[in-house]
Amino acid sequence: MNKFESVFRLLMSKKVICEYASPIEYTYLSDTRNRSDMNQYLSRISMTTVETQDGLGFYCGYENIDNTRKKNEVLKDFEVFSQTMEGIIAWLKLARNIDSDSRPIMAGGKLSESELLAAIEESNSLQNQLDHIALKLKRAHKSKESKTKLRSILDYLVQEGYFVSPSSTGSLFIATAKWSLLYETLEFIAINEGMLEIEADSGNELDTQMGLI
Amino acid sequence: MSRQVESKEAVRALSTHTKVVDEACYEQAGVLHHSESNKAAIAALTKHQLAYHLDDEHGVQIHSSVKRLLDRVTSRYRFRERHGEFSNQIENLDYAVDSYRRVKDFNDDKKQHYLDEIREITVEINDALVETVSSFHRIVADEFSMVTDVDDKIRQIGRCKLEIGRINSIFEHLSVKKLREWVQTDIHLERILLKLLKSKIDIALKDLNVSNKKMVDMLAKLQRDKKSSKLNRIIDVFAAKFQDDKTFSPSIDSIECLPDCLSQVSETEVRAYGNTNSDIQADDLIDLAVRALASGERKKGKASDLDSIEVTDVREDEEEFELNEVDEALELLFEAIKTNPNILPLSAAQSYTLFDLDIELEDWLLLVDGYISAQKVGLKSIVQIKEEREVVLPYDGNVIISDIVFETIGGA
Repeated sequence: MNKFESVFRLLMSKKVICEYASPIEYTYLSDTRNRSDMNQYLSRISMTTVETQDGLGFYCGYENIDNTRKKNEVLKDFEVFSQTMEGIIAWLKLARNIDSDSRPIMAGGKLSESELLAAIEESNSLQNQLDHIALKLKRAHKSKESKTKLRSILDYLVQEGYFVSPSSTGSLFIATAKWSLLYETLEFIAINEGMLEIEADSGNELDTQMGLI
Repeated sequence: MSRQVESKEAVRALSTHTKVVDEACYEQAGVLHHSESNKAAIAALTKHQLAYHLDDEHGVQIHSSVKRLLDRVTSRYRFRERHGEFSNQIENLDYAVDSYRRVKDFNDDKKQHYLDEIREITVEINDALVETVSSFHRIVADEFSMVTDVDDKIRQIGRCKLEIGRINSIFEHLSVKKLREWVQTDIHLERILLKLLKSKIDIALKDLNVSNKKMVDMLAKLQRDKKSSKLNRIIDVFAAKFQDDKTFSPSIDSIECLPDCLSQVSETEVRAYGNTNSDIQADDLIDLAVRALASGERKKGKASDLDSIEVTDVREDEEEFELNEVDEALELLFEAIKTNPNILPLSAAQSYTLFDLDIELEDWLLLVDGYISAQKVGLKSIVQIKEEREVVLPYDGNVIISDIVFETIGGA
């Protein structure tokens, strides 16, 4: 399979292409000429490649949502997502609680299953959080073992494209840019629902500063 | 005398409450809030007109003259741009060297005057460089202790880095080649410029680059911290929302203009089928079919040899299929169209409503269209088929078929 086809298939399968999940395809799409080629191809079916706001990933989006079919499709996908939202938020909180610097999960971040499990088994509060996540994501929630629940949740997150597991034992997990897309979505919803105020975006300024480096 | 007493008491008030005043000036935008611990400072400062009352909510604003005084005495702790100063001094040095060379062979007084001037400028450049280097060191070591806001820190570091870049490019002009041009064979200039100045510049620039490198790391760290705090806030607001409202379920139905992050296309299967009507692909397809069959048989453990596959001719056999509700409706529709011209004109959308099918209208139209394509020749002689087409402006190349109407041939 050539790179164009491989990128196209990933885009069509609703994947977020990033350095961590699909490095070859990400490098290919990072080249402006290749991206423009892909966009030209996709534009015939009213689609285009979209870069996540933090620039860490690409996904396929509609050029515009100009008919009911597209809108229904997007609404249906959102409905599916919103059913898992509480579980995902709880997972983000759990992972942040376990991180020594309280950093949230971000693309490229690493999680070790054994470290997570050790922290969970040491704390009742973390165990409760894990139970809550398992219940909300409907993953091994009937199991009494934290290990089983954690593994089932991690497998689900890998299957959904939030993590990749590079090691053969599957105990190390690397976050993909799907988290970037998720945060963008959450931020939009939070603003739309009046939970967050629109913040003057200093992203451009930061980029300029990084440019100076 | 009373004037001096007044001054003394004002300075004493500042001295007694230095910590509070300093914190207010550099961390609270000069505002002293009403609190028990600030009570004495507020009383002393307002008494000497060094602060004025804002309101009960905001407290007291320290007078700008106090801030100016603090700025003045702590200036070496803060960053200030000096590349312009260096640039001027180098120009002065160039002028002094040029003047020295012009007079040195015939006027000893003037020669000495210009030599002194060169020495002074060199010392000034050295001093300014040492001060600049130490101010950058302080910035790196203290992580801008006077700036608490992350955005401010990022801005300050950005400015510092820019300044280091400018200073570096100014001193790039002071290359060994340039200094040699100035010195030529003069022993006095050689000692001042090549030995003293050059060595100090090299050390200072090396130090500046070390500071620069550290600032790059700090900037990256601040960027990460800023991003993390933003994402943590998002996580927290949702966690709180789900805790407060167990039934919370956001909706985007009413949003007209969806952002990119919500315009991701659904999972779409990409696959292709072999063209069984094409002679060109016939050989390949037969080959593929035989292989697939063999592989299936092998998996079952029934056959391992391609030659052993027995092919049975079942073309004349009849097989019964059970039609589902939709297929049945489709068959009924076309049967009615073909056999009963009285029902015409009839549209696919009308029939969709009549059958009350459990599928989307778009899917029904696709099925009707597929049926027409398959039976085109047969249908054409019986009915006239019209497609109602719509175009969404601006035109993007897509034509939407909103309905298919069957009419009697020659009918309205």
